[in-house]
Parts: sequence; structure tokens; C-alpha cells
Amino acid sequence: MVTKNEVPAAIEGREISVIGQNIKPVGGPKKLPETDEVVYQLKADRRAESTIVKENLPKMWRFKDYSCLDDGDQIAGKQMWGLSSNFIGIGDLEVGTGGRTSAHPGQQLKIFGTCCMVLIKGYKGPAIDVHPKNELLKVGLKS
Amino acid sequence: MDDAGNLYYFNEPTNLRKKIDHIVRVKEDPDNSSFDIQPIEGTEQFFYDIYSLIQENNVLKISLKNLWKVHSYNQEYISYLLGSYSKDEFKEIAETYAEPILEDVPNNQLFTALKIICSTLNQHLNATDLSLFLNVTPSYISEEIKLLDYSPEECGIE
Repeated sequence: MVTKNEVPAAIEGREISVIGQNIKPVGGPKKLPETDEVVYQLKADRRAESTIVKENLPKMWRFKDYSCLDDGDQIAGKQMWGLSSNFIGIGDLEVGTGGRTSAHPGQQLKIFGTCCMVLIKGYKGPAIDVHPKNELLKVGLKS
Repeated sequence: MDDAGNLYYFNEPTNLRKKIDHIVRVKEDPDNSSFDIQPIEGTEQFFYDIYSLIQENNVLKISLKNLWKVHSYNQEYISYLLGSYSKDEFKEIAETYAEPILEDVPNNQLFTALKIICSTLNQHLNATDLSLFLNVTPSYISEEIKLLDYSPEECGIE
């Protein structure tokens, strides 16, 4: 299992879990070259994590030659963009499960079929969740 | 620009500069029945002024076409989310909007296009937002800008 949080990084699989704080569909559907398969775009901003739940069979690159392809491989960062065979439908996006922080309830989405997530902007190390209470404790204003 | 609204640039017509050397003003002098010829400027600057206007016009036309497609698709998507269509009905509609993603834009032209869009909107946009204007993938934008050794901020990218 590999975790990457710096550009360039991507994951590809049959099923990918996306956890973030600003997961949205973006733009119109696209046709893949050669196969003409229709895929839908999505993005995850602020802080996001994507993990391969089921790997591709056969395990091969389709989008980026630097993509991670194994089960459990993960990318994390500030901005992510991806493609999926299925569009985000009603009730697909779970709020309040994964990616929860003190400032945001967090969002979680599973994408299926032909899918990939590409890191657009990463960060070094996991983002620190700063709770106002911890900030006050740090400066000695709260016991 | 092609009919599909994909990003396409004409090459700089370098032979035009060879044909013309100076822009001049020719004024008729009726008293002496002669012509007064005054040079205004060299062709190069004149050419670049015109060229940059044409290029800006071209990029904005492409952006308008691509955004209109996204807007039309989003209207259908909203209708689906409001319950006007079933999932299968929407999938059929969505497929009519599907088009290939362009990934062979020369990187220096991509940079110019990004600069034009950001300066027109006068705000910083991220790579995903910019990809909508030009129908290229966000990862392509970020990779190509990096190849050119420009910082994303120089292109107006967040």
C-alpha cells in the first residue's frame, strides 16, 4: 500500500473511495479515446483522500503512467480531480461519515467502473486539524 | 477554433512579416500634386498588436463555446437532481453531451490562453476551473505549466 501526497500522483481502479470536504461534479461528460466510453468528471477541494477499494482487472494503466494500481493505494492533498463511469446521483454523497473535522462534517463518495483520481495540488504531510479549543490551550488562555 | 469548440490555435504567420517592412501613411498634397509618405512604425510591433488581439478573441470564443456546453449539460443535471428524469433517462441525455478531452495543446499556447482567461475574469482560478474553459484536463494544465517552469501564480492559477 502506497500513500502519496505530492504531485504527480494518481490512482486507478474499479472502485475508489473519495473522502473530502468539497466533493463536486465538474464540467460535462467526456468520451475516452479509443473506447469511446463515457465518463463523468468530479473534483475534491480543500482536503481530500482517495483510496483504491477494488483494483483494476487486469491491473494496467489507462490514464496516467504514474498511477498507483494496488488495493489500498492512496493519494491525499488539497485539490483532486477524477473520472468515473457513473455520475454523482441523488444520495450518492454521504455527509458526516468520512473526512469529518471540527470545521466541516466531511463528505464521502464511492466511484465505480472505469475510474481514476489525480492529485492536482498536494501537501506535505497530513493537514493539521486545528480546533479553536486546542489553539486556546496552546497559548495558555484555557485550562 | 474548430466547429466542436476545441482549443485550436493558428500558427504565427511568419511570412507576413517578410512581406511588409513598415507601416506608412500616404498623404496626397494637391498643391504640388505629389504624395507625402510618412513611416508610422515597423511591421513587427504592428503585427504583434494585431496578433495578440486575434489570439485573445480566439481564446474567448473557445471559452464561450465550452462554457455554453457545460451550462447546457448542467441544466439537464439539475433537472435530474430535481427529479424530472430517471437515472437511465439522464444517462441517455448526458451521453449526447459527451466529447473527447483535448490534450495536445502546445504548452506555450496553453499558458497564453490561461493568462487571457485569468486577466479577463480578473481573479485566480484553480486548474479544475480553468479546464472547463479550454476542454483540457486539470492534470494536463498543472503538468504543462510545471514543464514551462512557470509558477502557477504567474498563470493566475490558485
